[in-house]
Amino acid sequence: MSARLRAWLDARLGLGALLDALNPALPGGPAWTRVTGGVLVAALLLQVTTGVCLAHFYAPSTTSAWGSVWFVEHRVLGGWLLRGLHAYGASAVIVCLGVHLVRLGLAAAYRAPRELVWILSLALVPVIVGFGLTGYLLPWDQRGYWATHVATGIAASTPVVGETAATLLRGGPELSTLTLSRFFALHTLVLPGCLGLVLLLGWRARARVPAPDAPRYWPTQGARTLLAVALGVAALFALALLRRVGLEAPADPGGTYVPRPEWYFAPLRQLLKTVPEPWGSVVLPGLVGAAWLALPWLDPEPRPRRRLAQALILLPVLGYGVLGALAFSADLADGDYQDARAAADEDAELALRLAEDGIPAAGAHLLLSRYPPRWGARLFEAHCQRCHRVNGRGGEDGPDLTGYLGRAWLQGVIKDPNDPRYFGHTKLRGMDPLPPEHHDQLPALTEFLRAQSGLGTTDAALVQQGEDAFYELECNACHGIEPGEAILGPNLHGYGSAAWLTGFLRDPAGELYYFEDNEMPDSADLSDAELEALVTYLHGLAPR
Amino acid sequence: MLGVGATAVWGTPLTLEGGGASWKALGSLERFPEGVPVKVPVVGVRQDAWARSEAETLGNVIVRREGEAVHVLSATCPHNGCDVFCRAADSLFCPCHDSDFAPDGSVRTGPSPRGLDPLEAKVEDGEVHVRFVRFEVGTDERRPL
Repeated sequence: MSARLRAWLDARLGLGALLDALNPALPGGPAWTRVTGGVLVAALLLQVTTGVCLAHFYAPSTTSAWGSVWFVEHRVLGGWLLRGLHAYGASAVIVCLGVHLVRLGLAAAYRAPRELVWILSLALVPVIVGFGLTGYLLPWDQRGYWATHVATGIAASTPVVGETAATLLRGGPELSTLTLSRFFALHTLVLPGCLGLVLLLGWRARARVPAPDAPRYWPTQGARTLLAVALGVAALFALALLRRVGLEAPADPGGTYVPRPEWYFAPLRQLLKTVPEPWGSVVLPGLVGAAWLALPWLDPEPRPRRRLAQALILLPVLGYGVLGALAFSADLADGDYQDARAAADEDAELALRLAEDGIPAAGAHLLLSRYPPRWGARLFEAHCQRCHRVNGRGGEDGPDLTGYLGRAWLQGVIKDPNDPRYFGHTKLRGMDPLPPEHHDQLPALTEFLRAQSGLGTTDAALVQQGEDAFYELECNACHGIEPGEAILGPNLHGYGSAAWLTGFLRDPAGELYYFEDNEMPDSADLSDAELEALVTYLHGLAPR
Repeated sequence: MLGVGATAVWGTPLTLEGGGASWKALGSLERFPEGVPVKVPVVGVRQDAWARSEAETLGNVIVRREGEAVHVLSATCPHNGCDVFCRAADSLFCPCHDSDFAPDGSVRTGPSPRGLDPLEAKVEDGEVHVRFVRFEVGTDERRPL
């Protein structure tokens, strides 16, 4: 920079004072341990940078949030890395802040006249925790949704003011689209404002600490800090590259999801489980916070109490570590949790696969809830299970559909149609069982019927043999096998195929199906899409 | 002035009405096995600020059938509002802080301040219906929201 430009800027901007502020005095001189503050600031800058990039794509609403994060992960160039850095960066900020505070505490850097530097450093804790809590929800996936569900539940459990506080936090009585816009505003506008203010005040308080003849931050300390920052950033990149943060399935208020908070809350959760309330939830963490805030006065310069201060700093850190280890080992040993985890991973994988074909504008949660096999299963439970049993659950007025259209099920019907498992409880009891002397034809007949449904592969020779037997045994006396041929029993052309099932479900008492004796209600209240989902589900009942 | 205005805007959610309790159908009685608690989703109209959806999952309930009668419990743990699940035929368990409830909803162990909240239920024409209500969490007393 030319001297003239420098002078020009200095006159208008106070450049000299600004550069001085960036090169503060360092009482005690450079030390490797003193990199913690600089590394923390660098981690925060990384969060701001990656966060600003992410905000260009993010759309905070229950219908769009998941999709916009999916878009970042899977369509934006390097988006997955960006999100990985931001997510792991959040953990890095927590670690850096923790290490920095312990370092300051053990160095007794809270003593007069540095009380405010210490207190403002502690004030970073609620701000950073706020960033974590609000950011976790933003993807609106199962992980964030349920963790926030619990977090706001904990807020709501506070005596007297709890429900009001939780309602204000959530923007309503439950997690909703207003929660997302609120959390997004907090995460990107309010909390950065608070962070800036605390850092600015901290910086100012630090600059006011008298340090006569102390060496300056640059170049020695600055170089050390830069080296530590470079190592930290390299570690973050490695982490983000090696282990994708990923996205879980879209938030679903139904279903069973076992929530877990982000790792840094795990010790607090363990404390809550181990120590009865309100000791575990409020009193113990509150006491630790109060003790740390009071350190400048508990361990002052004229009458130091080093041992007490060290105990007050190190015991909570030790407890935090032990509780964390307990929490993680408990989860590893918890079979229910591991099962729920595996199910959640499966949902996530399915949702990501389905998202490749486009995410419904009405909300990403429809990816799974409108996924035909699952949708069909729910429709079956709501509309069919009253009379039809599947896997031991449901009514017995209609045929049991466990293994429906599978070879065993088809054989059973041909062998004994009037068994209670098949049509025994219905009015449709006209069919004669296959006489025992023809039971050798069962596999062939079954294969022939199975071929009608088009499900799976069939043995062509056996199908042909079955077709011959169908005519030989005069099944065609009652069952039409040509399209549209109505005789006495259901027409078997394409029996069990999507077209056959759709026609049957629309008109179960029609003359191509089970005639007017059939008591099964039609499906007039189901849409075409719902019917298609139901048929997909029914097809899934046959063993592969 | 500005502060009062901002506070009023920010506090708007306190004035918003919740979904309100109404009867929701849970499907036929036959889908519920005798004596074994089953967790099922409650589906209904969801008003999410400006957006209205006709058939959305609102939350979960736990249904236990006894003959022709049903007992329905809210699946929301009264401790911190997590969702409990049916761990076994005789245990409803909250995976967040390990509260364990008997099938009738009473607390056996864990930090929950009260038993699971019972919901009004009825069986009409073989269909189970429930009045879906939420309750305050963290309190000994049961207070509907």
